Amino acid sequence: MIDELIDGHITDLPKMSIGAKEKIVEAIYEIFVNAQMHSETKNIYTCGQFFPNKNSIEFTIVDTGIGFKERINNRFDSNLSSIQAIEWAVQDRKTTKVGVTGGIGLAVLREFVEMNGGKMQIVSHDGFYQFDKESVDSRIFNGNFPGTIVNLQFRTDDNNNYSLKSEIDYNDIF
Amino acid sequence: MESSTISIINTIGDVYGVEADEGQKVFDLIQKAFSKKHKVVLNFQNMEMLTTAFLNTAVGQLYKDYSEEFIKEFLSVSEMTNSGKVALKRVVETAKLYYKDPEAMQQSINDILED
Repeated sequence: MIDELIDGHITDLPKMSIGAKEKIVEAIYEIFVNAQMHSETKNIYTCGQFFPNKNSIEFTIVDTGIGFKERINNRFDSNLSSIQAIEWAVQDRKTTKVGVTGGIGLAVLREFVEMNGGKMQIVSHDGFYQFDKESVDSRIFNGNFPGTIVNLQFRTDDNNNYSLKSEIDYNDIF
Repeated sequence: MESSTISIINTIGDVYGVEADEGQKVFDLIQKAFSKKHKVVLNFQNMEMLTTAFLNTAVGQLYKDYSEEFIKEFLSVSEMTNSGKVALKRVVETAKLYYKDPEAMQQSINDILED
C-alpha cells in the first residue's frame, strides 16, 4: 500500500539534488509508516502537490485514528494534553512501542525540515504543533480534529549536500 | 564457525524496506541463525530505501535478547548505502540506550507531569 504512494515516482519529483530528493521521499515514508503503526486505524489518507513557482512540495498525511494524546496516555497511564503529547513524541528516542525500540522517525524528519528550510505541522485532536527552522509554535487547536493530520512542506531549491563527508565504517555500526 | 548471509531484498521482496512487519521477517531469520550459533551477514544489495521503523524491528530489537559483544561478533552488514549505514547506526545507538534503561520512557512522561 505504501509503495503505491511513491514507488516509481521519484523521477517525477522536481529537479533538485539527489540527496535532498532521497531525504524527502524517506521523510514521507517515515511519516506514513508512523501513521500506519500508531493510529490504530486501517485507512491513511494522503495527497501532495508540487508548487514550481514557490519552489516547494507539500504533502499531507491524515488518519482518523486514536491520535497522539490517547495513544501516549493509554501506553503510560498518564494524562498529557494533546500539545504535551505531540511535543513529547517529536523528541528523539521517544516511543510508545512496547519491547521494540523506536522514536527516531519524527526526530529525523524534524532535523531534515530544519536543514531543508521546510515546515512541519501536526494537528491531533485539540493539539497544534508547527516547526520550522525559525520557530516552534504549539497551541490549542480549537477545531479538535478526530485523528491526526501531518502537513509537510519541503523546499525544492535546497542545494544542501546531504551526503556525509566520510563514510561510516562497517565495523563501527554495532 | 558457520556463517549465513541474509539477503534483505530476497527476504522482503522489495527494494524499499519500509514497514515494521517486513523488518520482523529479517529479525526472525537472524534469531534462527543466532540460535544455531551461526554468524550472520545482512546483505543490503539493491535496497533503495530503509525506514527506521524497518531497521528497529529487523536489527534494533536484537539488543533486547543479545549483548552488544555478541552482536558485534556475530552480526555484520554488507553492500549498504551510506545513508542506510547512518540510519542503522542511529537505530543501534537508540536500541542500546532503550534496553539499558527500560524505565526511561515512563520517567520522561512523569517528568512532564511533575513540571
